[in-house]
Amino acid sequence: MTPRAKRADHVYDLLLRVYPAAHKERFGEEMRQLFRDICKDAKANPSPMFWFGAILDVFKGAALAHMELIRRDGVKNYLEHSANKNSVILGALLLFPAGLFFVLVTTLPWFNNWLGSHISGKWGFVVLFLLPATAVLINLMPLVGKATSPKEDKASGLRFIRRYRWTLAVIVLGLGWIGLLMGHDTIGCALQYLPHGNWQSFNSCAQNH
Amino acid sequence: MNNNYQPLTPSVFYILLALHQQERHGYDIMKTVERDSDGVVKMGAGTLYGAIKRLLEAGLVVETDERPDAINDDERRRYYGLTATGKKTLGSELMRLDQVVQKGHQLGVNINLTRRQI
Repeated sequence: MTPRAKRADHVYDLLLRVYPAAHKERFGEEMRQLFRDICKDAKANPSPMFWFGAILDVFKGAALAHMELIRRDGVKNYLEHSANKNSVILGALLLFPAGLFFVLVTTLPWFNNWLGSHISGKWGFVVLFLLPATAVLINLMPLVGKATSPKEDKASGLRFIRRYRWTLAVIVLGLGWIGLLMGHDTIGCALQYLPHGNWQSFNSCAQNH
Repeated sequence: MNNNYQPLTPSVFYILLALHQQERHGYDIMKTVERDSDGVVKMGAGTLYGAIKRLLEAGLVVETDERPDAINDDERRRYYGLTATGKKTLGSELMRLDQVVQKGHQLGVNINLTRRQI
């Protein structure tokens, strides 16, 4: 295996971590093997689009696998058994579109124009507010449960923070994202225009602020 | 006849079709699906193994010891084949599609139009 192939393998292995443990245990090796075969097909130098497709495929598959777990076990069980893992992964999956949006908006000037003419404002509202807010909520619920549980060791706040660092990271990121938008006075514009699908008005309102 | 899974999604339909021909491993299934659907259905590893997981749980597909290409094969690969239920489901889906085509003919729909023309 070439160093490049090894790196690609390693990156894909990291991506597979977003799957529920049971799914990864059962199909992880096969998925890695399939990815190696696809890489061989893509010849020596997989393009950025190839990676974009691979990341989307993994995130979509992982989201479906997590949704299936939730449907089977119920939200409460799913979150209770996984305050440290599944809720973090699900939160990360929900934050991913906002992060991608942020990267595209800040790095690609043409993206704003394309966005205005191709994306419904309702989708903007979902990506900018509903998904991050849901990510915060599903990580906040088990955390509050753990913090208020009589069984939980509350002697050391630092230990609690260390134990739930990833859960806290998702909450901070989600709240930070929403706070960033509020700081720019765009949340009022978003609440006013995006639910009605009016992206252009949202854009001009946000720019005026 | 098992109607619980009908109508099948295009991915599931083509996976069952690929496995009807012979037992296959993941990469072989992916390539066969792409070829059989004339490139319309393309799946990544996540989509393929998500579908395989559901098909295994539904009892339409089973992991098999048959290795049609054992000589050129990596023994870490797992092969999948159709169960009797899977064959029935595929058969009844094909029958359903045939009925749809016949109905189209009866109603005078020109099914020779290409996708671009539509």
